[in-house]
Amino acid sequence: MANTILIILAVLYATIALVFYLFQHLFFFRPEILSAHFKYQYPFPFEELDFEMEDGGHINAIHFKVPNSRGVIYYLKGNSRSIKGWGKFAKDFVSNGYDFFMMDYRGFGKSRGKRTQTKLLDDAQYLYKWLRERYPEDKIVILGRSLGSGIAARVASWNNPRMLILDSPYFSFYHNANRFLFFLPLKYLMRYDIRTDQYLKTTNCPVHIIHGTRDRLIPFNQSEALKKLYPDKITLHPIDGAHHNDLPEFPEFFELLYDILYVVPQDLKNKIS
Amino acid sequence: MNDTARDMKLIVKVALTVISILLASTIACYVFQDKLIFQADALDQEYHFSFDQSYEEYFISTPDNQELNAVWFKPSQQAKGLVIYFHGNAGNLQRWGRYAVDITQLGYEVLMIDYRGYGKSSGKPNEQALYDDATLVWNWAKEKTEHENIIIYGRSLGSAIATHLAGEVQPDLLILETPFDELKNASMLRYLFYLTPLKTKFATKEYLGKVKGKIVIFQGTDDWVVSLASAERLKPLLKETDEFIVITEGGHRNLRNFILYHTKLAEVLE
Repeated sequence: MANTILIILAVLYATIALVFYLFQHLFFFRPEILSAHFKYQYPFPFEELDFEMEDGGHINAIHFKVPNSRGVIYYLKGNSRSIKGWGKFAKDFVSNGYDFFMMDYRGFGKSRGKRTQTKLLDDAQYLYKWLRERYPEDKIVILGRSLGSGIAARVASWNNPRMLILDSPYFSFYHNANRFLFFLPLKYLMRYDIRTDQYLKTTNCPVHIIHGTRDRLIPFNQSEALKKLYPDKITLHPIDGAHHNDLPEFPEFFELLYDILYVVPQDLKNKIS
Repeated sequence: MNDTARDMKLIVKVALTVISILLASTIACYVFQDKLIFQADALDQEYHFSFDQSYEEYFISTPDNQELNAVWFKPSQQAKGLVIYFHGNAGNLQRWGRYAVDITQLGYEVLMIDYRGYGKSSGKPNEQALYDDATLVWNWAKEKTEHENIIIYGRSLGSAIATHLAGEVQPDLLILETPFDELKNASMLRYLFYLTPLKTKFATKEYLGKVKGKIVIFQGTDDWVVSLASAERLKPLLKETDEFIVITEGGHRNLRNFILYHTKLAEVLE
């Protein structure tokens, strides 16, 4: 009898592990798929762009442009829906004189192709290079939110952008998944492990982290742990009382962004004084 | 004893053998990793190099009191610039110095050093020290030469060191021969290394994107030490102006036997 129960439990555990292994992408990615004919509509002028990747993948992106821009925000979005809805975040930057660039990851919106961690990161790098052909690197700000924070950190570490901003980031993919699935041997099951903690090591630009103190999906202490690893590189900005998805409801969030993005560059400061 | 029981015993035996071989080789890799990675050949301090062209020999002192041995090849005609060459993981300057002619014949001076522990250089190699030494050599050479045009060249393991240095000092040109994205992914041995906790990283991919000048990569298709796939993983970090030159049937040690290597090298060192 005891034997039977043990066997049932073992089979159950193995099944859970297998189901997680096979369907983990459902857990990490919540895309909204759009038809190729869908027409984006935003209250600002924008250009829709399509990139064909070497492996046959297809990346769709939007580029908002303002006259005489101060630079560009390369926004790497979270794991839900598509740029159709996320495009609204352009407003906060466009209205302050920044161009805004955002893509849909493979399998999101109008982007297609097999998704793996390597491809996710290489696509992001490919689009950064596209931006680099159009802007000097010291005018490119990489901003990653939630899932996108690790991708943003990876791209920042590979290049020399002006600044990296992480909005509600995780310490590492594994680290955060382990909070929910600690009973599984995740190290062997996860096909994704985006290591923000490692990527920041070779990141040369200033890093700003904005994180709600009441975030329950990715707790604030993960940002604290990152800060602890790289105290000189990172400026940590807690938003008191904010959760994972309500940062835009806090006026401090925008004040902070404004402060971070509008700091007078050092050389200009010297000229003035 | 029936057949099934005998079969079971055999399976267990085979499994145990495989596991113990894996375990033993992993432990061996771990213990001897420095020996495997840095295959240095020491030379007597009195050793007299024999090269087909004239050279000057130097010793560069490091802050931690080691001496790095360097040879500087200066072609007789007015040189177009200086190439600082970081060699592969095996041998010493006697071996690597013979390749300098590929560059000097194009009208460039070549400065090569032996890493610490190699040839006449003192000390023991480790990743960070090699990076620091490279920076030291760059600064030393910059003081010593009148050339504005200093190019960095890295071969195999040296490509990681060259790239790290290039990210710091930003030369106009970085040339990499048979580079890998990260040492542990370089070869077919990577599956063995996956099990071994490595003390060194030599992660070229971490530094390549930070290089602002032109990058030129040479890689053979039949390279069994650094696979083409490993070198190709560097591609996403290249700029539009950079070049990734694939030499068909080229191996790890013989790219200089191919005419394409020489024509392309002449082109970029124009």
